[in-house]
Formats: sequence, structure tokens, C-alpha cells
Amino acid sequence: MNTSDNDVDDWFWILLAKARSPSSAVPLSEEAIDLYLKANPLSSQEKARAADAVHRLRLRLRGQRPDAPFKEKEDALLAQMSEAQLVELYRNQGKSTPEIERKLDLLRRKIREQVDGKHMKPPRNSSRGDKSGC
Amino acid sequence: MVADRPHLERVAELAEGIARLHGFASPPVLPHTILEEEPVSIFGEDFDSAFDGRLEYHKDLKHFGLYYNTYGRQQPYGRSRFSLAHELGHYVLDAHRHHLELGGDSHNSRAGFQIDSGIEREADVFAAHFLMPRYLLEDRINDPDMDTVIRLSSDFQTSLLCAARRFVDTTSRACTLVVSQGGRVHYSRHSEEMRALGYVYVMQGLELPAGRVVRKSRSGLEEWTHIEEKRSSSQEWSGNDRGPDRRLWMQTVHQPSYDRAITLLIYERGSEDDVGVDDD
Repeated sequence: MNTSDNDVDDWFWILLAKARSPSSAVPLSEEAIDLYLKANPLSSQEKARAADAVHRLRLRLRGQRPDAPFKEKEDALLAQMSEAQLVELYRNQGKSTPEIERKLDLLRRKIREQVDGKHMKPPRNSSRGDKSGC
Repeated sequence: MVADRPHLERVAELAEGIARLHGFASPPVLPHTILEEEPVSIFGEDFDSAFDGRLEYHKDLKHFGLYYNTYGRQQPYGRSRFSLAHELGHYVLDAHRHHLELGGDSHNSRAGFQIDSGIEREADVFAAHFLMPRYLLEDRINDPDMDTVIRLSSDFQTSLLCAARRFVDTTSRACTLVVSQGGRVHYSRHSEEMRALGYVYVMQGLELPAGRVVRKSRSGLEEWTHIEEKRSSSQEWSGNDRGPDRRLWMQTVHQPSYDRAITLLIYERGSEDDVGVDDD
């Protein structure tokens, strides 16, 4: 069965939007896709239409690039994604957003100052997040 | 890598041994104290929804950075304590630590039994057994009900999910934990006794049966407020009406912020309500 680009786009977005819990605490994942598909059985016709989109979304979640000729289209889709959707993808690829990376870099510098500067282990609790309360 | 059961049991033993070795005679078990003499800097920060925890190795410094998400709270609570213990597991487990020391990539961890990969599952098992070791649990498990789980969660300062899993792992009574996501059964976990009886099969993807709210929960560590209860049956969870139908008592706590529900199915041995079933 031929699958038009529009169908693939539609299903990509449907899965992206629905194959996850409404809660942001639950990441979009392959498991979430499986659960969604189990909970919402597709007809055989729908399965055929969804197959490409499912495949591409799985690749994306694994941090892999879809095969050409989808790449350009994929990039265009990503460019249209909201910040929340991008964060979701970053997270599922084991990456942090630029903002979080900046925060981590500050903490990494802190470690370097403490350890490198003093040539010894930092004093007890000096580097521990005060928020921990321990 | 697949974490097989015997290996996970060794991870659990190690975690409980470390808790005992460090002299924790009563809850809560504090992950920070384990690392006080170790080359590890710990940072609890609000990392938004990027990750629950992360462990990095600075090769030139021979020093680790352990980051865990506090989600903006001033004090660590169940989820963030679990994340900290999860990362502690990555540090303590030799294969995980060596991977980083040998130049392996760090990764953002998603703790709390959400990811089924080998090392994440190992770190989850480590965290659960470290925070709630059997030797501290055994005397605190009385009746198999949600009140006990809530009390454990409060005493050990863990998430309700962690407490429920460890409760089911440890109790000698027949009960089953069902974790639902988005209103549907995500997975279930039986106590040893329930496994031996083989009375309950829980179908994945099943719509979570509704209960009746009977009372408010007693603790405020998490964002749940009510316990739903009702009489249930094994057929209600198996998705079909074949086989013997065992009477169960169902208790559910909804956690809207995680879009999750935690359910205990409790079997009362010798219940005369088991229709058409010769019990024992």
C-alpha cells in the first residue's frame, strides 16, 4: 500500500501527541507508543498508514536519524515542533536542553574549583546542594 | 544488556548490605552519608524535566559529579531521594562506575522503574533496596493494605511507588501491586505468596476499574489525597471470565501529577466469598 507523505506527517503528529501520557512527567518513549497502540487498536488500513510514522518515531527516540529521503522532511517537522515537544525528544534521547546544559556547566566548574583548586576533596557538604537538607 | 533476576538479586543484596554496613538501624536511610568519604560532589537542583539524576566522571580530577533533580522543592522528597539513591547505585555498582571511569558517556537517568534497560533497572533495584532494606521493613509490615504502604512511604521518606514495590516484595501475605498509567494497567507485581497461589493474572493495558473514595490518606509526602476501595475479583483483572474467580480487596491511590495510579489487590485467604472455588 502506498503511503503518502501527508499520511506519514499526520501519523507522526498523532503519535507524537497521543503516544504519551497527558502528564509531562511521563516521557514519550517506545514503550509509551506500544502502550498507546495497544490501548487504541488500529485497523489494518490504519496500521499500514501508521507504519512509516511509527518507524520514524522509534528511530528518533533512539537518537537515530531517519533514512533519506525523510531527513529533510523530518528536519522541517522538528523545526515546527513546540519547545515542549523538543524538550520531550531531547529527554528521550538522553540529552539535556541548552538551558539545563548551562546549569550543569556551572556545577561542573564548581567541582573543578573545589577539587582542582584545593588539590583535595571538598570539605564536607560544601558542594552539596543545600536543597538536599542532608 | 539484560539484567537477569539472579543478577538483580545480587544487586539487591549489595544495596541492603551497604545500608546495614553503614549502621542504619531505623528509617530513613540517607544516601548522602554513604558518599561522604568518596570522591563525589553531590548537587540537588531543579533540573526541570530534563532528568531525574545524572552521574559524571571528571577524568582529570578523578572525581565524580552526581546531580539529582529536586523539582524545585527545598527538601528532598520521595522521588528526588530515589533519584539520588539511583545515581548512588550507578556509582557503587562496579560495572557502571568502570564504564564512566573508562571514558563511557554519562546519561540522563530516569529513575523509578520507568526504563527497562539493564543498567537503569539495576540502579532502580539498588535504590529501592538501599532505601528500604528488608531488615528494616520486616518488623514494620503488618496488614497488607494501603495504609501500611503509606506509613512506610512516610517513615522511609520514599515515593509511594517505591514503598508499594518493596511492600509487595517483602510481605508474606498474598497481594498484588498494579501500576496504571493514563488510566490503564502498565504493569503488575505479585507478592511471593500470591505468585505461589497463582490466583491473579493482571492484563496489561486493561482499563483501571474505578473504586469508591472512602477516606483521605494520612500523609502528605506525595500529591495523593484519597484512597479508593472496593471489592473486586480476579476475573475483573484478567480481562476474561474464564477460570476460578477469586474475591479480592482493591485499594487505589491516584497520583495525578504522574498520571499514575497505584493499586493493591489483597487476597483474603479462606474467604468464603470465593464463589464456586474450593479454597485451599
